[in-house]
Order: sequence, then structure tokens, then C-alpha cells
Amino acid sequence: MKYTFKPSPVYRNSQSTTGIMRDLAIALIVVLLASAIYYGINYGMDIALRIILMAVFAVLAALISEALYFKITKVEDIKTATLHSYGWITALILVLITKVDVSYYAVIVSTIIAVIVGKLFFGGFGQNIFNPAALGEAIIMNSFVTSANSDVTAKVFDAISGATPMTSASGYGWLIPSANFADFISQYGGLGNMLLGNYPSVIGGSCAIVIILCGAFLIWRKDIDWHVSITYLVSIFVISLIVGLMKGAGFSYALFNVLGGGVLFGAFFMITDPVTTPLTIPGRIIFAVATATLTLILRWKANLPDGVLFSILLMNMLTPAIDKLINGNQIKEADKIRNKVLIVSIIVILVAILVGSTIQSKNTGTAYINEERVALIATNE
Amino acid sequence: MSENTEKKQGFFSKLIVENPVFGLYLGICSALAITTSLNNAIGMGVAVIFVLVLSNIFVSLVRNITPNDIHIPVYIVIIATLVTIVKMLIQAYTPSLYTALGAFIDLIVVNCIILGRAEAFASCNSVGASAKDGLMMGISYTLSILAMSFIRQLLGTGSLSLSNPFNNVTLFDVRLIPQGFEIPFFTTQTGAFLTFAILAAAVTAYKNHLDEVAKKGEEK
Repeated sequence: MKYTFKPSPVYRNSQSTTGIMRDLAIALIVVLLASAIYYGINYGMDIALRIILMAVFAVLAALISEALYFKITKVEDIKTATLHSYGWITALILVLITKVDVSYYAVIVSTIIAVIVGKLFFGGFGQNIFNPAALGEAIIMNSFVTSANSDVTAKVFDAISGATPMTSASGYGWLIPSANFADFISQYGGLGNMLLGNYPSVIGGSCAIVIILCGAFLIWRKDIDWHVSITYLVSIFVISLIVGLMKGAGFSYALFNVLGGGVLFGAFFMITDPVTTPLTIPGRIIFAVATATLTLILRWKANLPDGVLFSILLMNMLTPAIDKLINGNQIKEADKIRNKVLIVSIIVILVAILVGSTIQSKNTGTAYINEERVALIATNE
Repeated sequence: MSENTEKKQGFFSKLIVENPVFGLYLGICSALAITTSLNNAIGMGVAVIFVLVLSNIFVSLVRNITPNDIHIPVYIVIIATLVTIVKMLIQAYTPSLYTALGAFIDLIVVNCIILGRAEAFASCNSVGASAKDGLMMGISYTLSILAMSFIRQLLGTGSLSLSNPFNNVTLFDVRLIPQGFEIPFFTTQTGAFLTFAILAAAVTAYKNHLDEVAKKGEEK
């Protein structure tokens, strides 16, 4: 017997949950290996080994804690239940959205909390409200920042004076005038380098091109809904382009917003989670537009390096509301639903632009370049 | 449950089944907020026991002369007076506890356990029974928040400590989880909710277990 899950209309469905998860696992492992290779080449084999070990520990922690949970709750077939609960997928995603300097202990504890509290307490796979991996990373960010391995931090993030593109953009209040943008981005090897992912960030944020290829693979296999990913990316691009033009930053600023940080990874691997996003395609489009808005608002206004994670968590809470808004016969009421999607999207984008119009650059000097960093690059070369 | 099984339950199971925090979900606000350390929990518990016993006694004393229309304001005046006394005593003798508990001392006035017991028990029972009920409820409340703060302090900071609130001499400070392995998340509000939910689930499971045992007993 093969059960399938997809937004209605269901009749054109060809993928089973097991198949989707297998493809997703392949894509995640490819991204993980690509990151390990990138870190291995740039920062030494011990960092590459560290990434692999983090993934192994997280997957083991997820499998063992789920098996124990099923044993305590007296599930009969523990092996099947554990394999079909897909905690190990959560663990892989969690490792990919973590920074490489996070301690093994933090990864293990937050994986366990994410799997047990974030998923199994809600009733298991398919019942969880929040994206478990995002929940785990939120715990790491709120609880384990100080436990980071300082040797690794020094090696990866301080090697050429500190910041990732995201944290330094955050330091400038996420507003870099187009005249200074070339200076700013040259610190990270230009936009082309950002597309190749050749800069330190979260583990899975490092190889943009690999993520795009894996996303394309998943879309081609019909594992993820392209509406969500593409709407999310386009919304981020459009909103940051409009705000950038209003504020004197330009086209490349919008591209930077799309390529930087966890946006690409979030677009293909997290926002597409079928469990925590709305059921219908119109609902998912609203979800994607609103998440894009929240991502940018959090980048501009919150004291966080990146907003992808928390925007997804916040929108997960609104999923039932969006489902209720779009409720009804999707084919007969198509016009009505299209209008709803348009109205909500326009309101949300207007809010983003209004908030964006209030942002100000926090740069105290005139240059958008870190002197120390440039000096260090010069000496390194 | 029948009269018989209720009598069979010991003091301990009574504390669990009629627990105001995890059984009736009363007084959760302070239980979530101040349970970051054992010191806070004990201080809060003693303050609540004091207010609860005395308010039950006074409410029981005036139960026959209180007009039914204004009984809530009367109770609130009694409780507020007692809370003000407690607050002044804490401020005078244990200033460190006063700063740690902060506004939550004042908020004992609106702690649902106290008004709830005054309304449900003391207003229709004798003085002695009311005092005993207040003591029981106060002890259950204290034990509940002690359990919560035990878990939160242990997991959140890795060590358990207790100090004498009168002169701030540390009575004991044991590190049970090595440095770097604590989970600071448990000292935040999220950790409070998580701890509360897990303990409440455990209490409910125990209750269900008791019910099942009682059912089996009746069937026999």
C-alpha cells in the first residue's frame, strides 16, 4: 500500500513520502560534502572532519533519542517507527544551518530537543507545528553561543579578521550605498564568489551553487514545491531591490540579499517542508511572500545576523491561519482565492517597503570596508 | 474515586493528586517566573504558605458575617494586607531575596491558589480545617516550585546552590554538571514552560495510573 501526500489536486501525484525523503537525504548529503570539501580546502582537514563528525553525531543523537522515545511510549515496531519518523533528516538540516564552531555537545543537545520536543511531543512526523531543525538552531542561537569552540572560531571566522558577509552587513545596518558596494563585496571576493559560496557562513550556506543545483534536482524530481522556493527568492529580490533603489543601493545589493546567508538553503530545504507550511499552492505562495518580508524586516531591524530562521519559525505559527484563509474548493473558487493571494501579498510587500524606508546605515565612517581585514588579506597573499 | 480509595492514599500521593500547580494549574505565573534557583523557590514558597494559612484563617473567621455580594473584595482586602506584611518583612530582613523575587511578591495577591482556596474552602469550613487546608496547599505549591527550580537550576547552570537569605552565607554549592555542559536554555522562559509541561504531564500520568488502579479495584 502506498500513501502519498501532496497539496490538492492530488490526482497528478507520483511521489511517495519515502521517495521524497530519500531524495532529500541525497541532496542534503551532497550539500554537506560540498561544505566539508570547501572548509577542508580553505581551513584544513580538521575542520572538514569536524563537519562530518557533527553530522554523524547529530544523526546518531536523533536516531537514538527517537528509538528511546518509541520504546518508552511502547510502540511495537521501533525500527520502522524510527526510520519513518525522519529525525535524521532534521539532524542533517540542523547541522547545515549551524555555524562550524558550535560545540558537538550543543549540536547533540539541540538535536535531541528539536526531535523530542519539536516533533515527537506534537505527535510525531506530520504533526509538528514548527520546523524541528529551525527550532533546534534557535535553541543553539539562544543558548549555546558561548559554548562555541574558540579554536575553530579563531581559525574560520577570525582568520581574516572576523565577520561573515552577513554579520558585517548587519553591522552596517544592512544598507550599503551602491557607490561603496564594490568595496564592501570585494572583501568577500565579489558577488561571483558569493554565488560559488566561497565565504564563511553557516555550514550549509557556503556553497550557493551546490544548493541551487540540489534544489533544481529536488524540483525536477517533484520532491519540493517550486512555487514556494521561487516565490520566496523572487520576493526577497524584489523587496530588497525596491528598498535598495529608494535608499541609494542598487541591483547588486538585491543580489547580495538573495545570495547571502541562509536564504538559498532556507528556500530549497526549509520553507518547502510539507508539514509546517500551508497545504494549498496559493497558501504556500502567501507563506513564501510573508516569510520573505519577515526575513528582510528581521535583517533590517532585529539584532540578529540573519533573519531566515526566525522568519520561518514565526510563519510556521501562521500556517493554520493561512490554511483557513485559503480554505474552500481550490478549482471552483480559483478567482476568489487568487484575489486573496494578491491582496495579502501586496499588503505584506507594502509593509516590507514601509519598514525598509526607515532603515539607516549604521556605518560611522565613510568606507564600507574593514581596514584590518584588508591588511590581513594583503599580508596573507 | 470512592471515599475508601481516597483515604488509602498517603500524604505523598495526596500532594501529587491535589497539587495546585500541576494538578489544578493555579498559580502558574509565579511558578514559571521565579523558579530559576532553589533560593527563590524556597523564599516564594514560605511567603505563599504564610499568606495562604493566614488568609484561610481570617476568611474562615469572617465567613458568617461577610455579605455574599461583596465577599470577593473582602477576601482581596485580607489577602492584600497579608501580602503587604510579607513584602515588608522580606524587604526588611532578606534584601537579597527581595531583589530576586521583585514584583512577584506583590503578585501573590493575585495568585489564584490563595483566592481559590478562600473561595472554595475557607468560606464554608471551620477555622481549624481551613488552616490545615492552607498549610497543605502551601506545602504542595512549595514542593512543586522546588521541583521546577531543581530541574531548571541543575540543567541551566550545572550546579545546585542554596544560601541563607538572612546573611547571604552560602550553605552549599555543588557543581553536578561540568562547566561547558550545562544547557542555559533552561534558565530562560522557554525552559520554564518546557519544564512545567513535562512535570504536569508526569503528574497527569500518575493520576491516570491511580484512576486505572481504582477502576480495577472496583471491578474486582
